[in-house]
Amino acid sequence: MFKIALRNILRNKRRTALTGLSIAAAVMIAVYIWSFISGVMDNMFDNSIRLTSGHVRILNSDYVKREKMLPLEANIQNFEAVENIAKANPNVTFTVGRIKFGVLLDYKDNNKPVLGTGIVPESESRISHLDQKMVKGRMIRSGQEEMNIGVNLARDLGLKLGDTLTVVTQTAYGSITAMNLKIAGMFSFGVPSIDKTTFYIPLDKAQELLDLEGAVTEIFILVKDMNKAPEVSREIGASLDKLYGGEYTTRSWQDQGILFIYMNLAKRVYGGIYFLILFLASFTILNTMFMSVLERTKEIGTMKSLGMKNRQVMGIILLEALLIGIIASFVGATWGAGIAYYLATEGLDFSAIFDAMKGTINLPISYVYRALFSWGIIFFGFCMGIFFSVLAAIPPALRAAQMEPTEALREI
Amino acid sequence: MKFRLLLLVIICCAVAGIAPAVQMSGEDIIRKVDSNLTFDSAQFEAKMLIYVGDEVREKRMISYAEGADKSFSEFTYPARDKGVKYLKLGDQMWMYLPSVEKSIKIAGHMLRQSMMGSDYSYEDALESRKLLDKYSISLAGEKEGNYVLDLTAKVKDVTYYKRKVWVDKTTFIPMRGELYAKSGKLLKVSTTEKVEEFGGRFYPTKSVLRNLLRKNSRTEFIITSAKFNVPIPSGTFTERNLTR
Repeated sequence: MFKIALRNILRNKRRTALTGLSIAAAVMIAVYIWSFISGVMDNMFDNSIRLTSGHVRILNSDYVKREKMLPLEANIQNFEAVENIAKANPNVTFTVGRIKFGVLLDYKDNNKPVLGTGIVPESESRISHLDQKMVKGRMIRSGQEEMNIGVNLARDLGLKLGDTLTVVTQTAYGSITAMNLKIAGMFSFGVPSIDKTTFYIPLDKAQELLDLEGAVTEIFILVKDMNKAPEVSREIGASLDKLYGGEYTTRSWQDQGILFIYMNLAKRVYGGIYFLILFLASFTILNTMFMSVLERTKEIGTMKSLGMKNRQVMGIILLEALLIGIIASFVGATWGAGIAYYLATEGLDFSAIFDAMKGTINLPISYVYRALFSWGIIFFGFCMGIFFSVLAAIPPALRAAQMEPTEALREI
Repeated sequence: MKFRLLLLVIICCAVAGIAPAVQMSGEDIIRKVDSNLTFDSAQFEAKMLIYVGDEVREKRMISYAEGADKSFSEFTYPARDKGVKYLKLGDQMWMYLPSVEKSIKIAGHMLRQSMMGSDYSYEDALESRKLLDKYSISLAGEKEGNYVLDLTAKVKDVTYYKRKVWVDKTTFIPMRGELYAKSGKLLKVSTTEKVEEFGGRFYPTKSVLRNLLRKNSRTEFIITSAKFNVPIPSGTFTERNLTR
């Protein structure tokens, strides 16, 4: 039977090629679009976790309510004690304190709101990979009055490497305070919302500037399994409550407010788009398969009049569909993988568009969109192609099988 | 004897008759308060005690003032704020930050921010003597030896749309002030807790301001030593003096 099926496929090369090609095209599109969407989504999650939310953060409970305003007075006073509690949790792999503070910089007769972050420079290589993102100069060093500034922010403010920027802000107690900070280096995360609005200074200098000796505004935590972050967050929260009675709150990346909701929403929208593409692709396969079986009604009639049983006719048609499906899907998945691989390594550069939009987008999306190259996606696309090919062949196969040989021979 | 009694009656009548005539208007009272608080020149040493929750922060300063429009203050304590200077000229204000050796003009949004983390805003420090220009003033009554004045803004751009001021009838020192937003919400309450006499004139030496928008917060402003009408070196009230 396999031989008959194979011979049938090979007999009409043009028809087979056409059917196969459309299946292959559908699979290819499904594979690379999905790779691309997954890549963009992953990039967004990754940026957001590495740059802002961590896996888990410890914050002052008052801070949580007004996080947008960066209220310095709601800080973590017993920083080291609190950090040690987090470190005691076996699932925690990394902890570091940070201070985020708002600064208004004078810029073309306007106040430009900018986000300053006090960091421990040595630990950034483990979280934000700031050390790899430096495009000019070097990273800041603890104890030095210097800063690393986003390239776009530096460009907007007309600052060069080695310039000194006077940062004026308010301390945790409301006094005006200022510090001269030398630009030691510029970074580019490739994320417009960060590169345009952020600078880093050493944590100890941030504490000095903001009158926060020994305190931080958040403790940034990485855990072994990021999917278990909510549990770890609850555990640390419970041990903190015992000692500090609700003064501090823990938040896992999953429950960090608007960004996560936003990303979930985006994921759903992209999911919808993907489903649509999948639907169109499967419809193409369905259509092609249906046509090719219909075209061969006469042939089927001949086979039947030669004494072939209904089950055998159906079996042959489905086997043909399976063969075409496997070959076409393989070809399609390979093409799709090729495009996905190109998109993953080269990416699509949207810098120009982002520049034109002038920072209206505040999601942590990179300038360069990269696809996620994953064998899982490719394999899924491959299986999907086969599945729909066979599925599409069922109705015409059923129809053919039930046909009277005389009727079938008369058609067309 | 009869004559004396008559005289007494006449005096009483006169006083009773004249009294309504010398009844001061709200504006007169504010004018009197202003002239009472304004000296040709003054030199203060003062401290600010800022209470937030259980914490107290102390700041000390030396201030010079000339008339109502010029003042210069330099903080001397704590170490963190040492050398911070403020210059006020009319309705303008500059601040000098020794850590960056720069002076900045306090304008726009900054005016409404807290001054040195206290309950006072920069604006509070600036506008106190401009009441006559900005508010229509009416005498609402008298209570416990105080005149009670109602002030309502007649210009648009004011932080406190309404004020209530209690002025002591004998010393003409404002003893209590309530500052309201346009919505009627009480924003700040100031009270004078100690008044001292300096060469026949009275001056408040301890006042307390509560910013009701801050949780559990109050600022005590205490003048520890004051000299009035003393010569002040020329050049004190200049921007150059800030950076010196």
